[in-house]
Parts: sequence; C-alpha cells; structure tokens
Amino acid sequence: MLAIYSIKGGVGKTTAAVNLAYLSALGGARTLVWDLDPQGAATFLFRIKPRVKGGGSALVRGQTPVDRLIRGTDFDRLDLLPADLSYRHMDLHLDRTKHPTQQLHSVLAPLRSEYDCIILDCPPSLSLVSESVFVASSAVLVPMIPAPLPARTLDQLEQFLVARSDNGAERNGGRHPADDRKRDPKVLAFFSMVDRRRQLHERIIEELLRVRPEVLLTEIPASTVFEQMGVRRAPVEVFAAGSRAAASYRALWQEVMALI
Amino acid sequence: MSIKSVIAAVHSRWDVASEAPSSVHRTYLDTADWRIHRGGWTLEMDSRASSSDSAAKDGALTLRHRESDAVMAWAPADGPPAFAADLPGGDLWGQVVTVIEDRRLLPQVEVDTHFQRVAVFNADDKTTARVLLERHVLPDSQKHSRVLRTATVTGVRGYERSAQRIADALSAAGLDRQAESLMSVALSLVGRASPGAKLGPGVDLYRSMPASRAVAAILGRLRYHMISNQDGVREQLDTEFLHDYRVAIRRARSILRQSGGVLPPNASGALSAGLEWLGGLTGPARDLDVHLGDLGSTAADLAPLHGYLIDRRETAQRELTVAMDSARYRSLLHTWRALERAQTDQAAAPLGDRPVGEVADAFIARAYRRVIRRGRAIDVSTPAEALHDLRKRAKELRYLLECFQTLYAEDEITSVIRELKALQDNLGEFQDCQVQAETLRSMAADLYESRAVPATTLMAMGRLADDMEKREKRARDEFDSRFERFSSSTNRKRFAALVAGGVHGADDPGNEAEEPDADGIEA
Repeated sequence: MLAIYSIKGGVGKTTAAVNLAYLSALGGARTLVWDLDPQGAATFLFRIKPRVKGGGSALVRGQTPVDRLIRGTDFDRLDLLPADLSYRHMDLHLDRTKHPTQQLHSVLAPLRSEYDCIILDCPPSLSLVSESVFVASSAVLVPMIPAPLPARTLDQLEQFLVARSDNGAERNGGRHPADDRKRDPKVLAFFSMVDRRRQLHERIIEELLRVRPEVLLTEIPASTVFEQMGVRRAPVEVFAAGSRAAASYRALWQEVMALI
Repeated sequence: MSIKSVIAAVHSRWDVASEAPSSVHRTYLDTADWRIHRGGWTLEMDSRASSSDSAAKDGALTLRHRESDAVMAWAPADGPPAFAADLPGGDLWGQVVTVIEDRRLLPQVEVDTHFQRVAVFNADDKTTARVLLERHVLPDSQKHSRVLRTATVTGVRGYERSAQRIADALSAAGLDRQAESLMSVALSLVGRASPGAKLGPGVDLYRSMPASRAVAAILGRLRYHMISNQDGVREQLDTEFLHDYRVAIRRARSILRQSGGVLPPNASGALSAGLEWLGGLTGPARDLDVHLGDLGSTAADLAPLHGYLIDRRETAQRELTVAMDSARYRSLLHTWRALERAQTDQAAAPLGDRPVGEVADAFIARAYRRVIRRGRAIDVSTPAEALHDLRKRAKELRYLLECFQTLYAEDEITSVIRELKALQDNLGEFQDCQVQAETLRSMAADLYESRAVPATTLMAMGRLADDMEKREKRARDEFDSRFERFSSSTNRKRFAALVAGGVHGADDPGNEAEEPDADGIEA
C-alpha cells in the first residue's frame, strides 16, 4: 500500500500516482488506484466518471461495499476507485466514525487479497484524511519541486508523524493504539518537475541532498510530455514510451520497488 | 452486419476500435486413452504464421481447465510435444507428466481460428467492454469445412451492464459465446467418439438380456478396442498401444473360452484359433517392450544389451506388421464381426437365450472357485508352474468381472476387483521376474556366442538376472499372505454376495462336471 502525498498542491502527485500505477500493472501486479482527491484528476485521466454511489460518507462508514465502486481502467490489471466531490468533506465523515484514523485501513482491508499493489492519490493537506492514509500505508511517496525551502515540506511531514505517534502512545498509556499500525510508514521523497538547466533548481537540490541524503536518486524532469497526459488521458508510457519523462518514471518505480 | 453497426444500434454514441485480425492453427492433443481429458484439462498447441516471416512459426502450448476453460499453464513451444519429456518444467506440467506416463500425445482434432479483438468505448472514449470475435474453421467427417462464428464479450469492471447489452445485441445478430468446448464440437463434427466415453471393456448390459446378445456386445467392444489401437501398434506411437491391443485380444480369447454354450461352437472356435495366432505374434514384441522399459536409461555396461533388444524388437515388429497386413488378419476380423451377428441356435448354444445375469453369475462363481481351489493346493514345495497356472485362472476371473461389470453394483464389483488385483500383482511379479531372469541368461548366452560384447556387459546382465531372482523369491515368499487375504472369509462373503444368483441358482448352467467345488464361495 503506497500513498502519494504532498502537503502542497501542484507538485506532480497525480502524475506520479497514475504513471507508477500503470508501471505496477504493466509489471504484472494487480493494481488499484484510489483517487482520494475530490478534484478527481486521476479519475479524469483514466476517463472514468468522478462519482461514488452514496458518496464518501457511506464509503468510510462501510455502508457501500467498496468492491462495487471499483472501475476497470483501459489497462490490464489496473483498476480505479474513483474520486467523488463529497470527498472534500472526508475529514468530517471520518471524524464521525469510532476510529477515524483507522477507517481507510478498514475500508481497504477486503481488497488486500485482490490487489498486489494499492496506490492512494491523496489530497494536499495535513488533516485527518492524511493521518488515516498514513495508518493505511506502508510507504508514503512525497514529490518535491525544487522550490525555496523544500526541506520544510519534509520537516513538516515528519513532525506530523512524530506528533501522531506520541499522541497515540499517550492515549494508550505509553503504548501505540492497539488498532494502529505498529510503525510509521516509510517516507520516500523524490524531486519532481526538475529543470537542471536552471541554476536555482541545481542549487536547491544540492543543498537539500546535503542535509537529506535519503532523498531518492531518481528525479522526474519538467516535461511537456506530462502536460500531454491531460489531453491524451493516458500514462506517459502509453503514448511516449521513448521519452525521458517515461524513462524517469520507470527508474523511479524500480527505485521505489527496491525500497518497499 | 459489422460489429460497429451492432454496437451503434445499442448506443449511438458508442464506438469501437478493432485490432488487426489474426489467425491461429490449434491442435488439441491428448493420449489415445484421453488421459489429459480425464485429468480435467485440455491441451492445445497453437501455431501461427509470424507476420514478418511466414515460414517461421511462433507457437505456444496451453493447458486449460476443461470445465472453466481457464488457462492454467502456458509455455512457448516450437512444435507439439510427443512425450512427457517434451513438456515444459513446473509443478502443473509435472502433474500432466504423472498422468500421461509413457503415452504419446497425439493430435486429436485440429481447428483454424481467425480472430479479432475489438474494444468498445462509451461517449467519454472509455473502454467499457472488449469483444473477441472468432471464426473457427472445423473439419467434418466428409473432410469439408464447417464454419462457426462466436463472440465473447468481456466487461470492464464496473461496466458490466454495458457489456451485457453488447452481448445481447451480438447474440440477437447471431453471434453467441462459445457454449460447448471447441474440442468437443470439433470431435463430434469429425464423428469421433466423445472423450468421456467409457474405455473399459464393460458394455451396458441388463440382467434379463439374452446371454448371446450380451457376449456379442462384449466381443464387439473388444474388437473396437483392438482396432482402435491397431494404427498405434503399426506406427509404434508408444508401447501402450501394443499393450492395449494385446489386452483386447486376451480378453476376447478368455471370454470365448469361458462362455461355452452361449455362442455357436464352430464360429467361436474359429475366432479363438485366430486370436491365439495373433496373440502369439504380439507376445515377443510386448516382452521386449517390457525388457526395454525395465532397462530404462541404460548404464554404459548394458548399452550392448540395449542395442540387442532394439534389434530384436524391430524384428518382432516386422513380423507383427506382416501379420497385420495379411489375408489371415482380414479374415480374422471378418470372422469376429460375423460371430457378433450370429443367430442363436438352441441346439448349438443352449445358454444363448438364458438371461445374462444368471449366466454371468455362474461363470464368475466357477472361475472364482477355480482360483480358490488351485491357490489352496499351493504350498512351499509346489513348483512354479502351479503359480503360473493360478495366474492364468486369476486373469480369467478378472476378465469376466470386468466384461460383465455393468451387471453388478459398482461399489461391490470394484471392491472385488481390488482384492483380486492384489493377488494378481503378486503372481505377476513372480512370473515376470522369473521369465525375465531366464531371458536375460539366455540372451547373455547368445551374446557370449556372438563374441560381440565385452565381459562387463555379460557381468552386468548377470547382476540384473540376480536382482530379478531376488524379486521373484520375495514375491514367492509373499504369496501365502496374499492368497490368505484373498481367500479370507470376508472376501468369500464379498464374492458370494456378488454372484448370489450363481451360487443359489437352481441349476448352474456353466458349471463343469470336473470341478464340483462347493466350498469356494460361502453360501
């Protein structure tokens, strides 16, 4: 279970979710993407209607069986749990349940035997939804654009994970909540929309790598090929397999696979 | 009507995209006795002309689950596999290997399929269903072609209703999903027996049927078995063809010998003589097959023996083929057919009109008593010939049980056959080892005289013969306990219950005066 997450929007999160999911399915794994972002960009890219019967509320309460909501994409072994506009109130829906942070994990539980890989495309924010996503995932993949103070994004995320862990321990008399996962998800950050011709990008990447040597080696370049995804409504591998953009995602997927 | 227009009739805003059409030549493979089918599979060899080079074939071997048609294993293949050794590795293929053993995989039926995959899109250009259009060209019994068109619609998850509407529209246009397996359709068109058909010697009999008609039906089935193995024997496809061919001959001889009074004696005597001649000719070839099988992958020392056996096997095959091409063979088959149609004659065949249930009970009871009596006469000092004779009697009983099996409750006859088989296995091991040890020693003498082989070969043959003698002795030592079990009161009750009619019947039509043995079966 892999979450693609960023506190900030517009960093190439959905692009990563769609391209990595396609490569996962291409490699033979039965793959599901859950488009948790109410904007429904991943749903759009797979040409599927952004609609979930009963809305997000019924889904997180377990009133709608999740397998009935899944749609097949145009690609073998790759399915989608579509976005729905009601997901914008997901925090509220979760908060009304008994174990809010556990809820997404429970919704996905019946699908774990059906899929080899589940990728969550998360909305940008730090919220109850994010916390729920961290509980459900074994790794969180964080795209970062080489903008000033990029390390802050990662710091914020880590502070959040530490705080979450401490709160949980306090609530349970020094132990982690019994129904939470025993360990936090692995955080895997990578640079996205990189233009090495720009000195600023070059400098920011170097500075960050000095303090954060664990950042992934693969960089996703800024490319017009990614812009075409919106027109073609398909992963880059489908219409531009020979491009640098497609090659960079293949390399990223390999690197991620080796780490999770 | 094109698929596009069929789809447009369902929904005006739906569209289709077709992949380039392709074709495949499919050969369904199975052993002569349908072991793949009975294992619950179908095995297909697909070959298709490659687009770049029409001479090059890119083939694949596919194993499917027979009921669901689901692909269970797949492997690229240059050509059809002939034997287990030609199959790919892996657990599942390993199961197939265990099932087919030494039998050859034969092409059972061939089909040419032209196919095209079509994707159906909704108004958002989203694929909602995939259609596989197929045009199968099947042979029929007149060597003409029959064409069968099918369409298989697969819905994309979450779009099942669209897929159902498409399937309904295609069905209305005359394109349905393939309901029956293509192999069975093809087999029925060429007029071949269904693979599910019974292969045993048992024909459907009922107890009140006149005995002459029942025995004629059994002989008909055995003749069919013999003929269906004929080509495999001629072409030496695998050793089991000769084995099954011989078994059919032996069963027929045994039935003729044991059903005195049912068929006219002149005609059955002529057939018996013919079958004795043919059976004699198949013997040497079969014995050599057994020797070669036991030798397995030859150690270097035994390579000359292997070569010697192969030469003799070829000679035996030539003699057998000459016999099978002879007028005498054709005349034998003619006699056999005529006997099956012979009218019953009360004077010549007094049991011909009697109900077969009664007659079979009596035959089986008599054969059982013989086995019991001759077995009991054997002790540690009895010469081997008595055991060989007992083996023959046990075989006669087995053939009767198998040929008349449909007259009895399946569980009862199965348990009786199982008990008998345990005794037969022991007697078979004893005689086979003895014969093989003798043959090895006599072949060693031949080879020694020809001076064509090194001493190490002769020594290795001596060791093999010693091994055989050890096995023979072990079998002889085990005989008492095996026979004790076979003749136990539990088994005697089993036989008694099976043929109650034969034991209690007012008159025992086939009972021989020389063997009024009453204590064989418990009343």
